[in-house]
Amino acid sequence: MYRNMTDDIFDGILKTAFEEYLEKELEKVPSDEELAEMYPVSQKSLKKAQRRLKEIKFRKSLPLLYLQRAAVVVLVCVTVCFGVFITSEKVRAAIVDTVVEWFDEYVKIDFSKDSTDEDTVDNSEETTTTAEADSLEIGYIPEGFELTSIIDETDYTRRYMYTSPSGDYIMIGIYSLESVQASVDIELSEYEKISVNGNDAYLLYNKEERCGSLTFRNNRYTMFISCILDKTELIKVAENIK
Amino acid sequence: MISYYLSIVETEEDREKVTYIYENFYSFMAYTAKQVLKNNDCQIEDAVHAAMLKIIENLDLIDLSDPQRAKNFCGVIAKNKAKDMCKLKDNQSISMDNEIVQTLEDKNDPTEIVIRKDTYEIIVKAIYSLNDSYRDICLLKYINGLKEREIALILDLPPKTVNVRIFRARQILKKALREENIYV
Repeated sequence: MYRNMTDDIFDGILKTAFEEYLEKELEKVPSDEELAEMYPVSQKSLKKAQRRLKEIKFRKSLPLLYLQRAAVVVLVCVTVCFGVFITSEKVRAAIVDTVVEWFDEYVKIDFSKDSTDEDTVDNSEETTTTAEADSLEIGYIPEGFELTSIIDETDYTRRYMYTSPSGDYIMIGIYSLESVQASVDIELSEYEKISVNGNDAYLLYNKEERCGSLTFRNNRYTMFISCILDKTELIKVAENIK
Repeated sequence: MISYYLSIVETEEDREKVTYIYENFYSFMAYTAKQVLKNNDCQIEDAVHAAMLKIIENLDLIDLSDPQRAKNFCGVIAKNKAKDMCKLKDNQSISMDNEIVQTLEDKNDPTEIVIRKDTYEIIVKAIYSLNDSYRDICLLKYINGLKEREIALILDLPPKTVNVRIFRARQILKKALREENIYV
């Protein structure tokens, strides 16, 4: 062990000594400028080499360059074609048809301040958090369902989960944000606008699957109920949240 | 010539390394080779060329982040290539490797190591007195941090020879210290 330690120390001493030696030796060597004068590096061949390096780099980036150019050409063509075709009445009609068709399959649910009547929206400047949602009472839950979890996902989102032994569930989400917007695909469900306790509510229901969702807003919270349940029961649950 | 060097390396990174070495250390390598070859310009160029090829073979061993170490690396290789050309190396190495080095008594207790202010001066002085072939190997080991196997590759020597030379160089340097009553 002593021998190893001694060797390590000696190696350390040697390393420093050799560094000192090298420094002294390099001091004796003429400066870079003098050396360059004595043994000039051929600038011509150096430039040639640098040009070659650039060429190699350029050659490597060539496919990317072509790809970029192709993308620009395609973009220009699409823009020009769009500009030309939009002048045609038939094309304009086709675009409108497509947009209408798309909107037919989606419904936009918007609870932002501007979209609701003033008397149904709380105009207070303060944002309510779901911690205050304890004051909400879920007055009706069908028989057989049990509360399995309450999750505060954020300060503004709380979810109540009820499940039944048969595998059905009711998820009640309470959102205290003042603006809630969503586009919902209604391709597989029936869409209805109904009234829950005098507030507008959006009901999506699939009869075959016996599942659906109901979204509505009272004067403080936006409520979202998603469930596997009969439609009448779903509405009853919504009406009893007070 | 640089175009030739660039054509024999594969990656872009290596090409940049070779260009840097050629641009910054070509003159130094020529100067170092000249110290061995005196005024034979043709041979100096050949030695630098051989050194460049050797450097390219071992590009991964050279660390360009420390120019002084890189310079030492290139200088040692150029010097050795110049020596090869003079055909001095073989004769010298045979005679040196066969020389008997006096075995020194080791004081093994590190607590007894005394490092005086002039320790480094004594060692540096002793390094000057070392034979070139010992010194170059030690420079590659202690300055460039190369392993014995890597040094053997660079200097075209059997690894065993490298080990022996490092051992002997250390013994010589230790002896120099002992003569001044410094025990390591």
